[in-house]
Amino acid sequence: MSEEKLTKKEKKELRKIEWQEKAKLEERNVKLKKYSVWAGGALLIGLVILGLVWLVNSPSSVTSTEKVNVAPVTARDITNGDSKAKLTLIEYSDFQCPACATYHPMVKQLLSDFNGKVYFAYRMFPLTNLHPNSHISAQAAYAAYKQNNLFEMSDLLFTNQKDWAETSDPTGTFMDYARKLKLDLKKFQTDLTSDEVKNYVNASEQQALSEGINSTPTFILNGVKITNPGSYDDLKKLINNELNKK
Amino acid sequence: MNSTKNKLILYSLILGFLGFIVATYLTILHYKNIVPPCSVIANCEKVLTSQYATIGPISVALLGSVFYLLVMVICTLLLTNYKKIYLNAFYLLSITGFMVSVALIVIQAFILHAFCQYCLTSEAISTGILILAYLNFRKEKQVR
Repeated sequence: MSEEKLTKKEKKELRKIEWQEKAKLEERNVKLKKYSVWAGGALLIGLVILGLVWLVNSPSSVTSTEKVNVAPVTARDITNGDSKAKLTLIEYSDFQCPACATYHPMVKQLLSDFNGKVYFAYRMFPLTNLHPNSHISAQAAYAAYKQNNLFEMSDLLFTNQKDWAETSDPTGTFMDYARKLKLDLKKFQTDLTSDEVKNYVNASEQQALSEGINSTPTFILNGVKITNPGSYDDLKKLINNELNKK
Repeated sequence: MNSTKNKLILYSLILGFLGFIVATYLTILHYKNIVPPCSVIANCEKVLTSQYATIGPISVALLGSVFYLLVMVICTLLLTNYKKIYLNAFYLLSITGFMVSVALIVIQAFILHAFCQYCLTSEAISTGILILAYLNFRKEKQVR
């Protein structure tokens, strides 16, 4: 039926219906827009969370070309494992650094799981401007090294880091650790503050700075700086990948 | 709501989103037990591993994530379905966020003597949100 044939009242009624439908449609559009904003926002938040989790979990890679100019491992270094092993892993570490304490069990596990396959060098890098006890703790470790107990002392230093990190004089605590390890206490005490030990730690610190190392722990795998792995599995995967390349 | 106020709320929403990214990143690091490396220039790990990084079992970073999420929800409500109560909630949130930020900066400066770049970013963002909320409040007053 064409509109011309409608009565005035019917035309008015028709326009009213049309207007109502238009208003309904507009209302629906506004609602839809609101829902879209909320749904879009929720989706964005979900993506951000997933992205961040992925970022944190992303396994580190040694495929990067970040070759660093670090000195090769020499007899002066504190090492563990076979020097003829396929892989050489160097760690720059600070005994008072909480991140180094987190990585310590991973490295320990790695050396046990890849016995004979990884030649490990531990380089002291005390961040003295941040950690007031980093230097003396490195001296304690080196004094223990002089009695062939570096890795045992490292264990105690990292595991109990919170007990000595903030104390004004941790020497007594270090003496307790030496006692626990059944070291020659007199020798340990003398070595702890000897010029030889101090010079070794100073030289290690200066070496790391001159090589451009700016954080701890820093891991160098066969001359390539690697991103710190998020978990032991990542580290293991990385080592296996490198071993398989050979 | 006029366009200037709309813009201020929109900027707050954007800041809230950025704050959410920073706080959620720290939350994930905390619950995955990942400590950032100790850097020659920053001292983030000292802050993130201190006793002030948690309140009981809850990480302060997680509280930050919840705060920024609330800011985003309130700002979206204000933009899509403006109500006075939402605006008051926004003001209250921004003041709370700022006060917590001040407390965290005081802890970093005077107790820990260490600053974390992520925490400082979050604190700058919550200060920005408070400034925007204040500007919005002033505009509101002028309209009345």
